[in-house]
Amino acid sequence: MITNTQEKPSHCKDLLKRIITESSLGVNPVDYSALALLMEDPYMLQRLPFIPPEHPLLAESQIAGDAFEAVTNGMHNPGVLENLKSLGKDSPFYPFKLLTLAIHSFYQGEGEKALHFFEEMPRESPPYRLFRVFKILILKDGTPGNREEEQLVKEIQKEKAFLEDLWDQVAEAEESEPELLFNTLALVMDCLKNRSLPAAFGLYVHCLERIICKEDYPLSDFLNLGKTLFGHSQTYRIWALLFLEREIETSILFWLFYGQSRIKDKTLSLEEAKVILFLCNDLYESLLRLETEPSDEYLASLGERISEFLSCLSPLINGNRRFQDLISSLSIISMERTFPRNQERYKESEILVGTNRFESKRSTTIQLELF
Amino acid sequence: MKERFLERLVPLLTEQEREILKDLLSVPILSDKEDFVNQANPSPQYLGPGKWLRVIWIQDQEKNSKSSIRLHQECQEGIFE
Repeated sequence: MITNTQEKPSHCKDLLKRIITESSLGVNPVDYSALALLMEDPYMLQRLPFIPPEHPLLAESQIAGDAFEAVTNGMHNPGVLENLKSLGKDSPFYPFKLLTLAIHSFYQGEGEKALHFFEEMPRESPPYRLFRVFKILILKDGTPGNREEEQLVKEIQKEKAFLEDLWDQVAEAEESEPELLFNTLALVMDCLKNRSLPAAFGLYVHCLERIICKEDYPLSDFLNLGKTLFGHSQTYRIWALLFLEREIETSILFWLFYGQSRIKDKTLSLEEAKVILFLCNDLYESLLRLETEPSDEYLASLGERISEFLSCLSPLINGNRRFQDLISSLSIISMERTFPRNQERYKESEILVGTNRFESKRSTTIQLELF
Repeated sequence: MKERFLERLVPLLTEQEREILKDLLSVPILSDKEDFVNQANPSPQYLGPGKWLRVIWIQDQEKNSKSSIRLHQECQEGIFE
């Protein structure tokens, strides 16, 4: 045995020289544990001229260095990771092997697994010095011990910082003019759509919840932005939901638009159509229970939407006796029946422009501009 | 409102339709900035081996180990830099 951990040589290079010299004398077996505690760079041996080209440590250095370089550069090279298997616990590169696997797991999103590799690592080995960085990255625990650690964490999390900045920009714009919020949101959405559509959608809904009932906000612009980014159907559904607790009448219109859009996309099943009809029917009943009668303009618009929806739906339900029975049994039909009556009233209201006879307590101005 | 919907409509629907209703009524909710960042699931940046190794080396420099500093200088001229 050439070295042991009690000797603690101060310099890796000196120790390597001793190992090489003594191994050439045929001393066997060689204990590399002290070397493992001094090895600060897996490729270091490649640059030391006194190591004979045939020495097994040189091949191990190549394997450890290649794998370490691949995982830190993001090069997908399963072969180099496979080669790591040849480095056993007695290899001076074993701590670097564990570090490489930890970094690989981290980038694969397997944080716990990454931390597990540190449990196996000798505490005094150089790669273990990165444990604090991993705890910050994975557990969000602790603070960087020095500027280098801080810089490493910051650069790895550059995209996170970018996303936080996007959020801050929108939050700041929410406090300012409607036009600025719309422009900011449009720009932020543009950045987000190719990174994470769910996050973009979440932020869009988050903003809408704050502005949907505010006056002077360009709602139709926000609606069109949603259609462009998330498609018509998804946007109509979200708008229907956001209006659900604020303006039932508007919510019904959006549910009908949603249904029509799904029919146009040829993605609406009979079961979904039935659920939409149930929803609209239920909402309409809730609307009728409100103290104030809906305005004539609204009823006319609603009647038109229902007719269109049922007309789009009819080829879908053609021949489906069960579904036709369902429609007949729903009071939504009665909504349709109110249409001619309301249309008459609508005509009447045209004559009565300027009176408040059928005015709803809610303004239909915003609702109608959306459509 | 959504809960009331479910209460009223669920008994009238089949199991499949109930699932459809739940999907229709689902809204993505972002509670705060952290929630937003988590949903966006940012990918960690790849920085290459040098940045990782510097963290390993710097601790020796802090201990004022001359031999380590010399070694690091050699490494900085090496393959990773």
